[in-house]
Amino acid sequence: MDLNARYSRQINLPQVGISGQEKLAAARVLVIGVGGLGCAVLPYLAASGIGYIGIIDGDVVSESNLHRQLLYTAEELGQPKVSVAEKKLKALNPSVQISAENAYLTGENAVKTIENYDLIIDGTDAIAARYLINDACVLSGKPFVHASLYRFQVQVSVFNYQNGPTYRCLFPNPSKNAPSCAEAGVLGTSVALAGMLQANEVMKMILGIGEVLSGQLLLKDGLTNTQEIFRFSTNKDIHITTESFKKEHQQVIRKIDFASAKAKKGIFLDVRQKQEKPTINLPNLLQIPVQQLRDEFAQLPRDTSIFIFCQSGKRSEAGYKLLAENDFKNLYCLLENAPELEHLI
Amino acid sequence: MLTIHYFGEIAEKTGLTSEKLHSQGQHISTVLAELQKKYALENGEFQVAVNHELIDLSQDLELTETDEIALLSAFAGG
Repeated sequence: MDLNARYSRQINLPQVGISGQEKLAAARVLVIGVGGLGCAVLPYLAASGIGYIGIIDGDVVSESNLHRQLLYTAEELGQPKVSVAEKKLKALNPSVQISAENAYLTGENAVKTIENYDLIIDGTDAIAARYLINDACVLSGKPFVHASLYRFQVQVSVFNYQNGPTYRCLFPNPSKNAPSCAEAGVLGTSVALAGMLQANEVMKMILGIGEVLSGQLLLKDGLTNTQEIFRFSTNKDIHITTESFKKEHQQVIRKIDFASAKAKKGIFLDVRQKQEKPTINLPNLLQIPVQQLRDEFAQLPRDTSIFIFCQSGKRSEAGYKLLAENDFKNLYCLLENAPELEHLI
Repeated sequence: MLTIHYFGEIAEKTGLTSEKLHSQGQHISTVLAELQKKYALENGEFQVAVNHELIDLSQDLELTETDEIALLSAFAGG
């Protein structure tokens, strides 16, 4: 294939040229999540001749994806997204190498995966995943291009670029409950717009042209066509270390059954609201709703075991994580929760 | 008049994308406390930019009449 013919329109740009095309061919880019954002970004990355593209996602194609994730068709429902995407991207540009991983990014695989690339694109749709990517990128010294949506509004920024500020500098403590597109709803055009802005940053970073959105949050409103840039700088109080990464992203929740817990020294912690039934009565019981836990650390012992329970096990895990992050040791989630405990006491 | 801009979920809570407030030599903490009370916004739920620069809330900035304030929150969707 004649490279000059295929890429002639971009090579003709004085800011690209043959040397720019060579930079693209030498680049290794990882796209995390092949949903709305990934599907928008990927065809342009592949078509531009980026040499090596990694994709990672553990999801399968479902019907509600099809209005915005245009790499997929109704014939591919139920198939792993990365397999379908790999096939489509190969067809679009056979000279691009694709590495497809049918898995979710986790605290266990994030750093190892990210280390293999020059540049990371965050195409996920959950706040926790965005923090995981941020922290793994900081530990690996890789820049990443972020985009996120709330309905018709789009945020785009580039983090950890040439020692620039990170996602945590912008949002040190965001709500972990910000709604995903599934919950809030989204138009295909909004997410495509966000993806295009991301892909455009990728091009500039690889080619070394223009001004990259580092230390800048671009906020675009698809309904009003207004856009604004907010500037922010590095927060020197934020340090991400292997230790903090482990604590936040590689937590294993220790479980224990009620009989074994009773035999050990410790206290039981009910993290439900006070009025929730059934009421559990135990001699060494503390009752602190999970929402108030952060303000009540002083009530909790640091020298003995804490056995946490709630109604279903969900809030007890949230409480466990919060306490573990705040250096409580000897934590356990009870295998039985209030409805079962009622019959065991 | 100060102008306050709201985005994302914060705009859903306030029911407004922007509003103007009277301010005379007010500090940012006073304005934020007023807005938090008015719209039941929680601490840590948003970041604050004044004239398009994110600010450190531990330094209680004194505002001028023409300042533009923006309340920004993280978006999750993708």
